[in-house]
Amino acid sequence: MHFTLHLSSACNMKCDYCYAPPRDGAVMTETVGRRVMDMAAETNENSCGIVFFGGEPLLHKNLVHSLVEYGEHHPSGKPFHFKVTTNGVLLDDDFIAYAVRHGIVTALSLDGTAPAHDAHRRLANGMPSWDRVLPRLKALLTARPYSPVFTTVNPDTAPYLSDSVAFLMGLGVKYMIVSLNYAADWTDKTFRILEREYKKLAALYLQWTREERKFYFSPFEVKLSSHINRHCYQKERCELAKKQVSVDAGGFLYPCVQFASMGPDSAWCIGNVFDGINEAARTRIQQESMQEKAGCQDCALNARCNNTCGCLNWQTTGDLNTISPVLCRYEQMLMKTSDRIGEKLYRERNPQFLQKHYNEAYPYLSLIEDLEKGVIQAARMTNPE
Amino acid sequence: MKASPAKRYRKPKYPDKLEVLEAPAILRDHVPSTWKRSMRVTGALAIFAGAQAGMLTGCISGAQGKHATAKHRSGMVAPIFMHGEGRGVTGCVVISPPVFLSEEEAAQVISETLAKAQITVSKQPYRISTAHFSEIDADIYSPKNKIAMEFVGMNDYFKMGGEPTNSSISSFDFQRVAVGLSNDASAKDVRIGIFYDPMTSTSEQSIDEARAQSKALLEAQVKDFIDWIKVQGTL
Repeated sequence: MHFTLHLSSACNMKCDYCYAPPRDGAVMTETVGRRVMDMAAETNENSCGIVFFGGEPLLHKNLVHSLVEYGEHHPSGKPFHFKVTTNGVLLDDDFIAYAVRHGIVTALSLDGTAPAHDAHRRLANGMPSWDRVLPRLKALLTARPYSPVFTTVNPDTAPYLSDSVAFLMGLGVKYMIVSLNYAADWTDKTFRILEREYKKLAALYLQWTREERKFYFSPFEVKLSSHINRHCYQKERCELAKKQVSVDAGGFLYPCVQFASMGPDSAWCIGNVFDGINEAARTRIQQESMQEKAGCQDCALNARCNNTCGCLNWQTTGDLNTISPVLCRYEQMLMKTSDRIGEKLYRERNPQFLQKHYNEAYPYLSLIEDLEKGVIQAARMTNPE
Repeated sequence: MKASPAKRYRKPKYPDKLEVLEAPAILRDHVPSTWKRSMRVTGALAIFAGAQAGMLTGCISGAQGKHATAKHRSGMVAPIFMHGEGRGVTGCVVISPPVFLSEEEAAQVISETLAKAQITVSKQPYRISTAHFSEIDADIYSPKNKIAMEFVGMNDYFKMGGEPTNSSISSFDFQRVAVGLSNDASAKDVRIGIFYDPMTSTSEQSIDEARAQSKALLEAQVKDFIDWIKVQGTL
């Protein structure tokens, strides 16, 4: 289990699809942050995951520094690993160097090409942000080539999707996490455009795999995995409050990031950092979210579907167990497209595909190759401090 | 926008991980060209391949049985699919002797299991090359499907490396001998399957029941081999 720290709800951007629009309010105190880390250390996990989230977490760099320092010298002796998710505007060279030194995974949000990105991702003053963020992404990739990039697709930006992914790949992005804005007003027409773009992306995926390029494109990788790792895929699926807990600036606990703005008086609050997790509340939410999804019982793809994400269901339909039609159609489309990719690459016994998806040692072998080629430098993998 | 559940969905025509790990040669034989150019990567690949095979033995020990961690010279020799202990003792003071399957009984089980998978066998001979023993005449051969099979039973035990015991009690380890033969055998254009006598004990069942169990375990070995050759694309 990892803890997501919403350091504050303040943000220097104003993306119109944000599920937690920025607002002024409290900033997490160091006391609250430390208490979260104590809670993480008290779990039975061998390592403790901490995600710095927002609002925009880099508005509070000093707090990030002090909590990382605390984690690195935690009395429990347990290893902490850190991740920060940023819009990139404040991602300066100093922070990138700091993140590299301390092994902090830095994920950046960029929606692709300028028209796709600037359609929704605006600075707080309403100005476009692409020109500001792009140089920061390039700097980040130079230091950490496997930094994840989050891309959100909206109905009006769907036509740019394949160009956007190709653009990111051209920049050197290797780890692409692409998801829909499920809450947007998708129509049959815009969805057909999305399907067309995914056909183009399937062709690109085949091409890049045949060229033995190393990359992770989440929509296809996850669906390929849902078949290839079908024996354990069920365990990988999202379950509310089980694998991660979100903490708001005041120290109140929630089952996932989208509930963190609901406030301590809501039914979604499952405790606070001082009194601990309210197990009764957590169990109630978990059990509610694990119910069979209406309409999915007889679906042939139920076992491979992302319909278990209660957070997403709640965001789109207002109910943990009701699936939005957008999610249903997207999942079906992804599975068919991904399976066609898998079948083609397996039929030709593509070495890159086989090793990437079937060899348990692939991450280590890939790392050895990267070290040898200088893609990653050994010094950057260690913490000199 | 409306959506409806998928009423039917055909099984994808690419394997799941367990199916591939049952036939690990596919990972050894298909390596990215960039890896081939790196001695460090190929060295690590060899180490991990061995470790992975070891992990697998534990991983797949459920209904599908285990497979042995043999090193297969050419990728043409199947791993040993472990159904049945394949070891035990017999002799003067052993009160629950194991049941041995004869070559004829084994051949019948193997042929019948193959027939269920539409694999026809031939009386045509096929010789399996080995590194340390003389060539072995395969017990079963299917030229059409390019597969040959050898059953390690009492008749072959000593000539295939089984160690004699100098006492009134004889101990046998057919599984170990089968793994040794699997390491030793090689082929260029025919996939080789090696099975062993499960050697079921009669301590908790009658001789007839033990014999039936041995046949069932041998059949399970053959079925796993058939699955393996399917993954290889031979069938």
